[in-house]
Amino acid sequence: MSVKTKKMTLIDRVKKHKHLIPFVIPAIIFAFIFCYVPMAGIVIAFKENPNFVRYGVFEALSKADWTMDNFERIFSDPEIFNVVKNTLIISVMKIVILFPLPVVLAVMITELRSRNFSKLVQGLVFLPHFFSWVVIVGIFNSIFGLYGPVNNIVEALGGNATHFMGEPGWFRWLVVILSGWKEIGYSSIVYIAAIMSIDPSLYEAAKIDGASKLKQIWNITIPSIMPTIIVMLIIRIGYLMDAGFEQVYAMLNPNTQATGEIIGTYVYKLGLGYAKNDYGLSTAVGLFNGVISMALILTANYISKKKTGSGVW
Amino acid sequence: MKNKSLVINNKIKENRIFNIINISVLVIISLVCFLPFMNVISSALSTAGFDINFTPKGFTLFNFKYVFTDPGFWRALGVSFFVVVFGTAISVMVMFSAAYALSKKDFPMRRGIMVFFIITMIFSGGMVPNYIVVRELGLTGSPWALILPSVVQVYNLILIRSYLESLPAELEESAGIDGANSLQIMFRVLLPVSMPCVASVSLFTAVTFWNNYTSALLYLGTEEKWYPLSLYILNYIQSGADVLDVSKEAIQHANIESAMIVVSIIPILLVYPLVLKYFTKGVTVGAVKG
Repeated sequence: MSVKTKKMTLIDRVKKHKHLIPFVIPAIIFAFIFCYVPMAGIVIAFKENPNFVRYGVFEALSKADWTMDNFERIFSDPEIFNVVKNTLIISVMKIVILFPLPVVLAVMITELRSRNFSKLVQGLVFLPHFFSWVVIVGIFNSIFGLYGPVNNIVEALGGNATHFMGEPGWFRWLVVILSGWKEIGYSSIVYIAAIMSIDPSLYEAAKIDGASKLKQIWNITIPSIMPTIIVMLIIRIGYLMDAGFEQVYAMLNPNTQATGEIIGTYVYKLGLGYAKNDYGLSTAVGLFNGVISMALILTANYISKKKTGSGVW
Repeated sequence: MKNKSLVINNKIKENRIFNIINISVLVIISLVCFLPFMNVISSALSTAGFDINFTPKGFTLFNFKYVFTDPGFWRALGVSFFVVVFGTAISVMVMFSAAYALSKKDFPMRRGIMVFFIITMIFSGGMVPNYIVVRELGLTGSPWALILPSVVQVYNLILIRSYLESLPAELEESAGIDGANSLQIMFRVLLPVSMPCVASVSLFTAVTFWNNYTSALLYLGTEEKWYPLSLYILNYIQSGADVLDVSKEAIQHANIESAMIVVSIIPILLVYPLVLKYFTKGVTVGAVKG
């Protein structure tokens, strides 16, 4: 009965939707100007420090010589090595320490009987996500400051007050703590949603069998949300090269650069910050980072889609 | 028989212990979330002095008075409002209209266009090339530099598009019969019907614009008059970074910093109940099918 319609050619489709084509044009223009044109700017990485301060773009680029020095420096400069190392250490610490916590929190929240208490807890733990890093850093400056509660407790226990935020040895731990405080609650949403969609009859059956709460969590809840956990973990690992520019830039001070400078803040300092307008090297480091990130994200998404059927896109 | 009831009793006891521990730990977690706010509010209300532990030391409105009489603070607040209002309006409109076109299954080059947008999520030219482009457009040192580079929000595009795809086709067809053109259909039919989705996307976009300081950092340079509130406060924080300084001014600096932070989170707190409301509707983080 059904007559299979012939596949429409591109021209047919254009004709059919010609009224709609202008609707997508503004978005394409914005993406082109602010995302694709800068990609052409990658040539800066292959130039010997073009002087954009003095000349216009094209003049500066044509005046500068071609070079691979910027990339050689990435692999020989101990400062850059240190920056990459910091990025990876902070990122791995964040994943290892923080990744499991939203799962635990989600399980705990969904075990609550009282809806009101559950709502209250959720309202409180999601909230920090919506504050800017500036606000979070400001808040924790007073918590970890010399006269803040943490140091007061340390002193009450007989220790010496430490300026935690300015201590290189503490910096990465503070990055993890602040990041956890801001994001653990919000990250649990996806697991809460996953747990809510588990078939309640599974729990009924377990109750009849006399399984304790912990057993139910271990044998029903966790296995049921395992696919979600795996997708989230794979995607998280995809963003390994991103240690969190907005956070680290807001937290960093001259004392903590040795352990805290990450690729993002270094690229900023080198190219646009107070350092030296070293546009070539800054772009090269950014490109190096961007290519590795892209490879990681694409791989992560591919694995996630293949194994579980869902990815970021 | 007796044995069995003993087992059940044990079970009930076990579950009760589980619940008590669970609730206690969640109370502690909630306190850990809440106390830092208490501390910053206390610090903002304290007279300059040492040792603030979650409760104000002395009581003064001096810090808030200082903040509200600082013309730079008002200016930054104005810039932030400008960026939030225009940034959100432009971004959501541009993304909505693109999503409308791309929600048609046989739109020409639909897949290619989606790939074009998704690539921008995973690769960028980097800070310096972005900066050079913004500079060449003459936007450096202008508040538009805080808006235009962030108009394209691919995640929002995907969310709106899947929402539009879920709407029944008859909705549009009936409007088409009435002789409405595409623009009228979008504004009179689709936009009102998509309000739950558009509202939540707008809310999240607005919060992102309010919190963002990176654009200002990259594109405004020393043009401090256009600093949004976030960067204005960060500058203030960093200008008092010499924490070993124990002079009265330095201590007061910390209290004023706290007052600024308290004021800057008020708008977020005001929209937060709405945000919570839309959690269930708008946000399905992670698994979006392409």
